[in-house]
Amino acid sequence: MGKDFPSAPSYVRLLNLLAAVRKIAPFTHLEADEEHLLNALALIWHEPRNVTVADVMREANHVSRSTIYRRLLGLKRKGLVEFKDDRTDRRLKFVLPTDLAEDYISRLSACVDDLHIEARS
Amino acid sequence: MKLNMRWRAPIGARQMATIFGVAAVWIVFFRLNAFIFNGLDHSIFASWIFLPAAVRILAVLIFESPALWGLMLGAFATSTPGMDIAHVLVICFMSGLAPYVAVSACRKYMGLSSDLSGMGVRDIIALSFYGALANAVLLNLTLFMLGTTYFDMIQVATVFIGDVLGTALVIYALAALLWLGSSRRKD
Repeated sequence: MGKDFPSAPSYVRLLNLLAAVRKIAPFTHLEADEEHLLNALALIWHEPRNVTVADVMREANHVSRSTIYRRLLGLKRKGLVEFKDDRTDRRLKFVLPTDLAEDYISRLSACVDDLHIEARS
Repeated sequence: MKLNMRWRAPIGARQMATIFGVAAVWIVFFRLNAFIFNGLDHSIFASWIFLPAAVRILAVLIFESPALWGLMLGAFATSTPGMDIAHVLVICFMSGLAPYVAVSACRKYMGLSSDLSGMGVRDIIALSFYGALANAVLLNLTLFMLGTTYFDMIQVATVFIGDVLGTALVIYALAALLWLGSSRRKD
């Protein structure tokens, strides 16, 4: 786990320790860009097709591929998406929703439905 | 050609600063614990929540051997008045030794690197657990061998639980502060 440096400075150890502690953060929230990407993915997942990382990068307008990939990694870190390799072509990585993402989307749908019902009544 | 030389304190001075710094942090957390969790003491050696336990593990992780001396100095500063000085010194020694044993064991058997790179949540949990276990066992064995107390399993459990809860509280608070800090920076 990591390289072993016999006399790593205290500051390096402190930074690595804080990075580990940060992962414990009791509160998680989506960045605006990540939420936008997740909403875009929700639309794609609704269609009867598999979406790859390359597809997501291609469909993003005015955003660089590296930025999209970074946002996808952010969603992955937060447990909202997972990557799955294609069995025949390992270069292809499918972007799949996790249970957490599906729960998030269904809750949002429920909220929209409630608003719709309230508006009609 | 001009050489840009920055002044750095001699190694001895830096280590002394670390020792006194760790001792000061220990004392602050000890007083804070006594203030907030007054009434949760099982005995003068055991509390059901003990915040300074986090200082033990974190100090040794970051500063290594100077932290040991800092913890011993801090423990000496917060020792119970009126106790036999030889007993106090032995207990203070154990206070520094226990987290060092736990961290060394975790480094060896969990593959934790010396610069802590790649450290994860599980590592922190394991370090907290083994730090609490080492302290509970070593402290109570020491007290028993010194004749200060009889071997009380409830005291052992109290020290263990107190250290685990104290460490968890401090680390969660630190995680929340870091999250708050990074959230504000992004706004």
